[in-house]
Amino acid sequence: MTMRRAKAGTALVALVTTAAGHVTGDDAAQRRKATLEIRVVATASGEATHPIGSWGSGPLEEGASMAAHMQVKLLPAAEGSPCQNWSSNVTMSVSPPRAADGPFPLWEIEGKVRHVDMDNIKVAFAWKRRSEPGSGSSPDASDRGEVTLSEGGRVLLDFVPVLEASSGCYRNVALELSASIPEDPAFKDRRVGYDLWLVSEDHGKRLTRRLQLIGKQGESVAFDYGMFHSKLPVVPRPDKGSDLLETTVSGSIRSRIQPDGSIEVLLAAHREARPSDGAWATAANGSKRVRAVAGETLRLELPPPRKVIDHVDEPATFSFLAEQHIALILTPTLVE
Amino acid sequence: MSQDPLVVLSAFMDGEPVAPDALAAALLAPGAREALLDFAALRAGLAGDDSRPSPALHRAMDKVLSRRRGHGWPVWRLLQSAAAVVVLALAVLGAMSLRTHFYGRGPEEPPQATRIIQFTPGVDWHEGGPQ
Repeated sequence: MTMRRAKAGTALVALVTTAAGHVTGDDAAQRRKATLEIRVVATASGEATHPIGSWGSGPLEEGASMAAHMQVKLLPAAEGSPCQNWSSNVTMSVSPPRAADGPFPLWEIEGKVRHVDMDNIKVAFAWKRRSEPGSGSSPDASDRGEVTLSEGGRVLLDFVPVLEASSGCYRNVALELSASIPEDPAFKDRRVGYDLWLVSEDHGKRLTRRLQLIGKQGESVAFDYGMFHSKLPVVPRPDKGSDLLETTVSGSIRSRIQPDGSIEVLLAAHREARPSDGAWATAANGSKRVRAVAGETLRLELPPPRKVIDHVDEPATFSFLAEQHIALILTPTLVE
Repeated sequence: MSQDPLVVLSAFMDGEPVAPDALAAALLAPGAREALLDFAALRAGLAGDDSRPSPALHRAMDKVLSRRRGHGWPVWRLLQSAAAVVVLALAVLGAMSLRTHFYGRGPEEPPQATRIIQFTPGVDWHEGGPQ
């Protein structure tokens, strides 16, 4: 289906949604849920770090918590085997084991969902590490804190160098936490189309570029308009400067169709500017979460870079940048 | 300098201005009558086939060309020029069609926004690279 047909098809949806009394831009919070995943990763000699066991909990509402115990075991497959044949084992349980089994860590982890928004999941955590006393065992340790994660983002909670001889090729094990937002089964296969324009206006010159993108429910879709040039009215540094300014705009969009038919959109944007000789660069980024009716057109103004960069004495250039108005114009639509 | 009688006759047949004394001399030249008949056959062939050369035209052209032995005929040069013009015209039309294909579809300006949303520096807009 083409974007045009998608837009035409969703215009009716937008009309119905509006007629039903939905207030555009209503960001009323809904009770969201998140899934927490505790993962043990290990690094064998000469290999990439890889997961050797994980424990997922959820969906958890804000305020809900989870607990897990993860006992690591690293097992040599056979004498003389290459590193790839060394195996690992992570025993996971909800109820605590009587004691740590072996020299490798037994982690006791608790996680509590504090707040859930798109790409913004706050999780409180606490963990303890124990191991059976003996040569090469890691000392007991613990920690607690709170972390804000993007969807699919992860945080390393603990890291343990492996010193015990029986660990074979393994060099370390680590514990990490990640969070995600489970999709509503009613919408998880739906797609959202994005008609996304870049508009740059400076000193009477206007440039437009257009991207048409499609993303699944909750999927982050990247965009990049590439580089465009602006000619400065003066050469900022007559001795070596360039009168061409290079600007790039990129970012990502993630959205979710809501039960009321509206679309919650999270748009992250990055704007960067530099002279073409690369003497310096200035960049800024931000993200905005908005609720839109399908087919509604939004204009997001991207502020210019800050006026001053240390060691850069080019007031005329920054005046030019301040007058360069860049905006993203987004029309999200439902793709049937 | 005297002109090639067949060139003069060909130009005359093509409607080009020809000096009367040159035309009179050309008509007296050996083979002038046959050449005029060839030109007439050539024109008849062209008139009877508006899409591609007919076998009769090929025969007429072969006859004329073999008689000229390497010298260019104004009519033949006209055909070459016409073919070049046709090729050029097709190329231009093709290019225009391509331009229409790439740029002629869809709007070149974004739709009018119904809502304007501002990033606020220091709040949801920060200096630095992507987070």
